[in-house]
Amino acid sequence: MRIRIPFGISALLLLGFIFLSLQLMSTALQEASPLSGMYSWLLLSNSIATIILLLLVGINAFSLIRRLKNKEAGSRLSTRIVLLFIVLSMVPAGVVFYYSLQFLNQSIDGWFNVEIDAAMDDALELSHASLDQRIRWNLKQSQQIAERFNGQTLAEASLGLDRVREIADASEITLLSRKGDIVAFSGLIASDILPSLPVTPLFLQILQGKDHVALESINDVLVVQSLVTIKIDGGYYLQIIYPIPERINDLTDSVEFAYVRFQEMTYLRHSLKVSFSLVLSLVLLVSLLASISIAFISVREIIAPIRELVRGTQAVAAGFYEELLPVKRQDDLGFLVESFNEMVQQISRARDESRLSALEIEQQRAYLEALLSSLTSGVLSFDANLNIHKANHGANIILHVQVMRYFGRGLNDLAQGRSDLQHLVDILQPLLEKSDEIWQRNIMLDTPDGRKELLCQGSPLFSTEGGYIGAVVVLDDITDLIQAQKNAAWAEVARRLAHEIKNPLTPIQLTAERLQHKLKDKLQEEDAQLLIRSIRTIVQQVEALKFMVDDFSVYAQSGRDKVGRVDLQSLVHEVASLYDADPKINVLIQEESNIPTVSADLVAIRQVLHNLFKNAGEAMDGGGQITVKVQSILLAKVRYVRLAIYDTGCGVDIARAKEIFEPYVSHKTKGTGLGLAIAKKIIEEHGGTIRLDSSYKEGAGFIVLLPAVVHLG
Amino acid sequence: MRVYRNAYKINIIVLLFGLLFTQISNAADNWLSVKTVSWDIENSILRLQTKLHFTLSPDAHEALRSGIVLYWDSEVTVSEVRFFSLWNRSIAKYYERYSLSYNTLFNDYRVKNDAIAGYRRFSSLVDAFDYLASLHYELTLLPDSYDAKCIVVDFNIRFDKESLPIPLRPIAYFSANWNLSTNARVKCE
Repeated sequence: MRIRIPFGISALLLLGFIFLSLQLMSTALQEASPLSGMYSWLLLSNSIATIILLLLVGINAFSLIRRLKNKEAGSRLSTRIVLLFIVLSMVPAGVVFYYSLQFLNQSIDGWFNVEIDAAMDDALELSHASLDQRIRWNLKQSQQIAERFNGQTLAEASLGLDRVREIADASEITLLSRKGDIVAFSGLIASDILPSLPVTPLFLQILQGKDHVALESINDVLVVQSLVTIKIDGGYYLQIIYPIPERINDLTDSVEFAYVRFQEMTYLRHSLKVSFSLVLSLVLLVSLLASISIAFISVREIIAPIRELVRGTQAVAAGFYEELLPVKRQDDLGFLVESFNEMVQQISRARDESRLSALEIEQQRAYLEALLSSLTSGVLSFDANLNIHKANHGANIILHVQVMRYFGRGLNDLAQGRSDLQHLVDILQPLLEKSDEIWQRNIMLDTPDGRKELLCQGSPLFSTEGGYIGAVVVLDDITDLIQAQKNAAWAEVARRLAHEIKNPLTPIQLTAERLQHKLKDKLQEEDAQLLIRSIRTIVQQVEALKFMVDDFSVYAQSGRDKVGRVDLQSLVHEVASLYDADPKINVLIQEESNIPTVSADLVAIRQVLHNLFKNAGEAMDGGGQITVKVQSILLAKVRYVRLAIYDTGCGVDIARAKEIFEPYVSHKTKGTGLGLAIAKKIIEEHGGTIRLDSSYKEGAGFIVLLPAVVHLG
Repeated sequence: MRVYRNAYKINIIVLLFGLLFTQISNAADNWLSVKTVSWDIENSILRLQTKLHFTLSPDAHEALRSGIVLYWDSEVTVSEVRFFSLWNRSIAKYYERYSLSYNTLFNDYRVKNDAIAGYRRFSSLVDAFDYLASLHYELTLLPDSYDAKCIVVDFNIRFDKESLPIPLRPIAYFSANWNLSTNARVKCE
């Protein structure tokens, strides 16, 4: 478990450590402080603390650099704030440090000027001079005492020591033999029986006849020791010790102490500077490092919510809206986090709504697409630049082109290489460009399936703001509708003809035959022949009219009641055999095996075959060959039986080829012109198609397609 | 050619070696050294005579002349060698503290042994050095160590830098001029 020390406590601990360290260091620097003995340890501990702080700062800096390289959230801001902290703390601290150092050096240097140095030397010299004067005076005094002893006996001299000591105000007088033995002694303290100072080291000097005097110290009290020769039998020496007055002693001690202290301080001047500078530098360094460490810690605290925010922003950018950021603070950043959370919630709601809308739009689009796909009408939509934007499957079928290949391109591109579409494009393009209202045109289009009549309706498209965004064109193949209308009209005509004309024909024929029967024998031969011929003509025309009316009747007949499975192969063979009997006509049947049956009215299909064979025979007036091909083919996944009948006749004028299936259109002199129209009507009633094979050039060729009966399993 | 990615590590190692070498070379400028150490044992008393080369660096000399007292701790340890010197036992120990000072008024040098009252005065520094260079010790050995087959005597004179004035201490720790300590070890005689 990671223990996190709160920022305030960390900072307080660090600051406390710094102040304690500073206090201890400043206390230890004072000579009399009990901590002075711990100075080195304090210095060491502070140095270690500095190194630890340095490491801490180094680790933090390394971590920050690494985060900066990894472009982690908040790293750049952290760097800026830390650098700002460093600059803000370093500049004033550096200035204070510089001037403190200057002040320190100047202060220390101020302690040691030439005047003080000279004064100290003078004081010491004065002290020495005073003592020297005293020493010389004491020597002179000793020599005078020695002169007083001259000529006395040893006993007299020994006895007179006390008195002389009192007169001379000496502390001790010792009478010594030439060998250094103590002969007599007189001291200020009665219990003392031996002199305070040894004389042996001085004897070499005195033996050479020189008197000795020197300043000595007995128990840290200054005295003057003098050793002089006295002229008593055998030669003796007198050691007199004079005390230095207490006042002079104290002054001398004071001067010496001050001088030594000054010398020591003078010597330590450089060390003092170095030491103070070291401590000051250490304090500065510790303070700086502490402030930088605090900067790192505080920046971490400051940046934490920002990092959370950045992380949250990245999560939002990645599409995660569920997780909200924890609000840990009540300050501006806390408010920012709260606002962010609110914003994320709003975005999340908006996104959900947008998703729902998009889903609905997608569903509507799919529905619309399905609707358009299921439409037999062709729908083309154009953008504002009149480039094709969308098209449905119906458009592909009607135009016989994959319109989606031309998405983003103009309508003219659609007609490139397709001369049959050029006419359509030439009409539509100006309408699209100019018309800002709904328009409608009937346009004839020649397709590989034959001529088609298209009902084109166009409308400009406007956005909800009213701006022009394109146009839509709906193409309806109304060829079948027109044909059906024509067929219906012709059927009505035929029905009326059959009703109105056929009924009077029989009375006309019977009446004419009755007239012939009644009048033939009553008229002259010549008139009778005229009557017979006229009646024959009437009967023939009536028969012709009956025949024509029958054809119309067949044409008008709607619906096929006797529908069953028809073997087209057998039927073709049956009908062909009738025409093959004609010596002028040769019928050739080319067929595949296993031709499926068709669901049809046998009589009607036989009628169609008769019409086609008859049409072919009539076209080959001088005789020829009729070729019949029976095949099973698959078109658009639907199985058909394909029947093609070709003759070697005069063929069909291609200019009139389009109207040969129209009723009452015939190229021949005889006939009603209903043969092909009836055939077409019957075939279409059976769900099939019949068309002229324009590729066949040796005569006329017709292709019939009838849906085959598919055997499941 | 192989390129070291952590070249800074090598630099640190070189720096550490440099510092170590500096310390070794500083140690070579020792102002104190042991010339001879001799000892004999008689009646459980070990008498140790030492002869030192005793000088002061210019810095120390100047400090002394400026009134700063210099202190040395002298320590003699006698150990019985046991188990290839891995398990030695101390059988005698002696400690003395000397100080050397300069008296401005009398213009003399004074050597004081803390164990003895008073001090010795020397008119010249050379005399004071002569005195300090010839130290004699007498140590009473532990009773059960008389039959020790091998003993080792550690003689150590350590200059007490902590007794220096506070401002001088950091310098004394890092300056070779204040390496005023020495030691010696004599084994199995």
